[in-house]
Amino acid sequence: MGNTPSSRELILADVAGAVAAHAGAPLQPLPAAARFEPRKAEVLDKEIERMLGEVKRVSGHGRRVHGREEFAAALKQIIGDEGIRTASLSDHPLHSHYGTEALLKGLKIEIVSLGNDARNLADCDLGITVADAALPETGTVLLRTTQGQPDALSLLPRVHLALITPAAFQADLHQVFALAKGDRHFELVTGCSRTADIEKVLTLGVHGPKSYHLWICD
Amino acid sequence: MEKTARIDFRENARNASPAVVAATQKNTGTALKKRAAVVAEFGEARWQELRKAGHEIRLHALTHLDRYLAMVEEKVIAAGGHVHWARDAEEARKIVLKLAAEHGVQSIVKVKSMVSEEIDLNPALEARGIRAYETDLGEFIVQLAGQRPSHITSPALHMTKEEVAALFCQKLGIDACPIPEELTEHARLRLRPEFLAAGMGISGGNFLVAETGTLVIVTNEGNGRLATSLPPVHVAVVGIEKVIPDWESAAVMLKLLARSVSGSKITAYNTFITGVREGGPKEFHLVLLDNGRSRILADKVAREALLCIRCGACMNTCPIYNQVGGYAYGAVYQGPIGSMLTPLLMGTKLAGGLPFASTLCGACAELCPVMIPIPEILLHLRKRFVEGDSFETPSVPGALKAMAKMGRIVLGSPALYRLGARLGRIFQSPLRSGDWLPSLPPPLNRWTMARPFPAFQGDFRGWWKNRQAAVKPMEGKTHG
Repeated sequence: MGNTPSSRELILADVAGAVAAHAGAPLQPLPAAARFEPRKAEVLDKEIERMLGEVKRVSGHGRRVHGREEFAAALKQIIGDEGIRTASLSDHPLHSHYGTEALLKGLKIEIVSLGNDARNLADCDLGITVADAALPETGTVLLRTTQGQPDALSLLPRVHLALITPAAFQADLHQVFALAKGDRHFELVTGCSRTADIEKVLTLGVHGPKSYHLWICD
Repeated sequence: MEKTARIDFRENARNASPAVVAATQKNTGTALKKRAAVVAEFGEARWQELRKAGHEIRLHALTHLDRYLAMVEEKVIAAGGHVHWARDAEEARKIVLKLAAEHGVQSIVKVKSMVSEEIDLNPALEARGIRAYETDLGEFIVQLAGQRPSHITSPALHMTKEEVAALFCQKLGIDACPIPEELTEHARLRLRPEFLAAGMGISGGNFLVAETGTLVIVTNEGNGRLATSLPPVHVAVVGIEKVIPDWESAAVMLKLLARSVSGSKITAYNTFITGVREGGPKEFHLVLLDNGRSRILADKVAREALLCIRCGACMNTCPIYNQVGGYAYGAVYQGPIGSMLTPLLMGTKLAGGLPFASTLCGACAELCPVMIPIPEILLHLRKRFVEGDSFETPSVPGALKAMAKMGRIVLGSPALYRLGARLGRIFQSPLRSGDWLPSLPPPLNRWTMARPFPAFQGDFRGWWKNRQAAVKPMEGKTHG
């Protein structure tokens, strides 16, 4: 019984047998043709413009926000436009800088605590995250999952607002992966939840947020 | 893919509903237009470079697969995950059922996964009294309808909004209008509580990054994120061929995949999971499935079928798929990729007809993001079917093989060819009607059942001689 090979051993032996030419040899590096030159960044203003264009293209709402006053005004506007009553936000220094929680409370918004159970966010109207990187080529943001910014915050609430600073802009996926590849979990988010499964008609908000906003905070 | 009955593509195609075919053509046409636009924006030359890189990455990963699989295992375990190995569908099902039993799971939310279809997981779960909810909208629709996906990336591609509305009225007991937005909202309301209550989330995986043991899941709807973050246990069943070496490779593959699947630069959500994380599922189990893949790998011609990243572009462009729809292929994988993978996984005895379900026009190979030489592999599989090889025994009757051999001898000898051409003209006389042969004896009657066969007009050499005699005086006039 003890000598019966396991499925692992059998599969690896079958695979090794199938690629016998390489068995026993050191693992070869990838050939040069397997590498693709990453995109190069343009000047920041152009990158920001491109980012906002791409966010619009995926049916999101993007804007630049200059300073605390403009941030407060933008927050008031999104609360009204989206009919927000409850909100939750990540534990991030950018929120301390803008006083996001105090501003929300001032607008009579109930703050939903992140707590230990992501299910708390299921009925929350607005989730506010701070992105760790932005990819202008596709209008994508990188969200690294932490206790202070759980995955559910950008997923369960009806509206997702992502904040990003220009310093976090990256040229291509290669740089983003170099940043996050050591993480246990991260997400690349581009717009809101969508599908075209019925007659290829684009429909927003299948399982995740129905509306997506990105603010570039100078 | 555990079918035991032979797939009769011809019969299935004959039975394809015109409504299914019409809906298929409408949807594949839209997908192709979107893909063409996004590739044009990327730039044709850069796109070809990217395809080449994708091909090289996948080929390198396959030819060093034993090393990369061991690397994946080591990294996943180091990150607190569990790795299981399944030689076949039955073993994979047993692993999942055992995990479900150990955790007292009563309901499961699933992310769209062709491997899950391949191992027939849902019936096995249902048999144990475990409710399995397909959460991708298209999969949810076909699950409600009691069907299988008709396309690997757009499972309900064959259904109209009216059919979906009628299905929702019947199965969900609601008053559903044939409006995609409203139908989607019904699915959201139906499935959200299931995500919150499920004891297990089951996914497949688009890629496994060997460098860190990371599972990559590409979705648009958000169901992939919910199913892999809310339930306390996440089980990912992934084919062993999905491994890619490193993160540089991941960047290339994601660029290729999104543009080829949906005609978008990137999908809405790309999820990266390495083992267990704080705040996520308490357990992560990776089931590595062989189920015939190592056998495919051993065939040096066919192994490139394993490069496939399941984008579905080959299906969208295939003239045959567009004429018959997905169900004619009688298996989980359809279109050109199905015509290769199904006989490779099930054997040519059961699925040997599928490699013939192709015009070999090459449109699929032109679009394939990882440059799989699909027509070459289909020809190789046809040869396998007819002649047999080290993997398969011949499936064609001895008489037909003898006829083919005789044909090769006759066509290879000028004297015999001339004689054959003369005899052909003589023997066709009783069957001839004007310039046509309206009916021929079996097995050639399979042609004349559909259309007449043109009569032999003369031998080619004689025709060529006469043609040259007619052309020469004309040439003289032109140059004079």
